[in-house]
Amino acid sequence: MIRAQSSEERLLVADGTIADLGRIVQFVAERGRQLTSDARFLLHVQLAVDEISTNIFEHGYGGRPGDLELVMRPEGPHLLLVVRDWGPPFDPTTEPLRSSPTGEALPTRPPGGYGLRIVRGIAEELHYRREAGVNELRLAIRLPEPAP
Amino acid sequence: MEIPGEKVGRCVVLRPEGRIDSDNAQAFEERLLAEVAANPGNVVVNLAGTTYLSSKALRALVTALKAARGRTLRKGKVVLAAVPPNLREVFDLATLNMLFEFYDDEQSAVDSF
Repeated sequence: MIRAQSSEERLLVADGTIADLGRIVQFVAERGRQLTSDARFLLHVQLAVDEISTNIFEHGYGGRPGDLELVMRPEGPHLLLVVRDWGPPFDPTTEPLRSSPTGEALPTRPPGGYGLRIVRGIAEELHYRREAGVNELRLAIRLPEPAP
Repeated sequence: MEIPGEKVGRCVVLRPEGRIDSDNAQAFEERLLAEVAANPGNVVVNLAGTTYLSSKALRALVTALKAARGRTLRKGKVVLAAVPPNLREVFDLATLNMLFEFYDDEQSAVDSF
């Protein structure tokens, strides 16, 4: 069941690292559960934030501590997630995807690149902008239909 | 990370529980690779008790599958059993659905070896 919630939820992780992922994902899971108990939706929200944050900490900040801001709020039929970081410019909406395995053939290169594919699959809308040294990624994930 | 497992027939069955994410994916991968390296190198991963798989968990599984197929003396296999529908969708999203063999239950997976 979707419960009405007008307020915006915000999390600021100062000098964050990959070790902060657990509490970031826990934050979105808890706030998501205030909106709905739909397990698939809650998994999608956690995965999207997990993969984006992992990318920021591992690649954007290169393992060094850095700031991350997360905002989430219902907006129409979607949950809107806004993720900001202060790392080098990186546009996940245009980054080429690695070729996907076809059939049973394994890729010869080291496995990886699945996170971006997952995020693009989950988000109905995905927008990136760079402004004043800040990467801002906005994702819209469709809220589940209320139970009849 | 504790991963219950046992040898069943010609393979080893692993039954990871809870979440597999950036906190424990490395330990998961190490366990998978150790089982692949052992004789006979056939592994069933029963995901019935798993609640979350991040891309790092997927990478661990693909790494293990590559190691199993790359064995020189006798190729092994890593197959998946009892994958909950929500997690099966994660494989679909990552376009890994064709790479792995999926079995509805653990016995069917064991019987595939």
